[in-house]
Amino acid sequence: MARALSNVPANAKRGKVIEIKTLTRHPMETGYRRGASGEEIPRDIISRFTCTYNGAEIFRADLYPAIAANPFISFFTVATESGELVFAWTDDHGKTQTETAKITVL
Amino acid sequence: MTGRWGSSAAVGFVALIAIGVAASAEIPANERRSGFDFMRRETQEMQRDDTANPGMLWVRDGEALWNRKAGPAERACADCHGDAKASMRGIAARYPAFSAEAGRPINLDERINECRSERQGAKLLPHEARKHRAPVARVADRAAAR
Repeated sequence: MARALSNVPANAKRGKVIEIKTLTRHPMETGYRRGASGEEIPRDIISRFTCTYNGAEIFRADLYPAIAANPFISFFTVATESGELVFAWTDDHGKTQTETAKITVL
Repeated sequence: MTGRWGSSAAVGFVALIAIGVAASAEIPANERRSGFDFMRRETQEMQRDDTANPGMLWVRDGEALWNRKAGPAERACADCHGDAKASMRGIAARYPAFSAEAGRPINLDERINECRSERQGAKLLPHEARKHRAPVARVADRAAAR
């Protein structure tokens, strides 16, 4: 089952600023809601998102309960060298979901 | 006086409707345009960007389910319908449609379930279940004629 989508330009000129867009599937349960019979629905959110570019971290974000389900994160970076971008979403239980994208720098 | 005004206005209104009907009937099929064509380029870019659309997660799920064998018949959607990119093009826009077997109009969800029970012999998928939404999204995505 698909868990994440990412949009990274396949080719970019060296030194060019590129936009990276990511979207992952997650309920982002706040922990403040109650179910039909009044029981608390336990909190279950993605608490951290990181992006590494050829092993070096270029972007990191902490997420909080106010962020909607299926969080969409978009950011910019400079295309420095060809390689791999790895996106990692870590949830409250410490489980990490990763997605990779390749980029060729001309 | 008012009566005459009223009747002439009514005649004018009917004439306008007639012109409207004539004009809409004259557009040939190859010149019909979608509202998409009237958008600004930036808005079109936004709509073309699948990454920003959470619905695409279900479309991807549907792609995986399309080739997965199900039920005692051990058949996948792809075994009968082939590649959805070609075979499902424009299909979603034709539903709801009348089904002779059911004797009533059915929507796309019901059509997929009909296929599941008759060809695959598989369990019916509950309405709006994740596994059901996925193939529906997959077929509907083809209607967008990417």
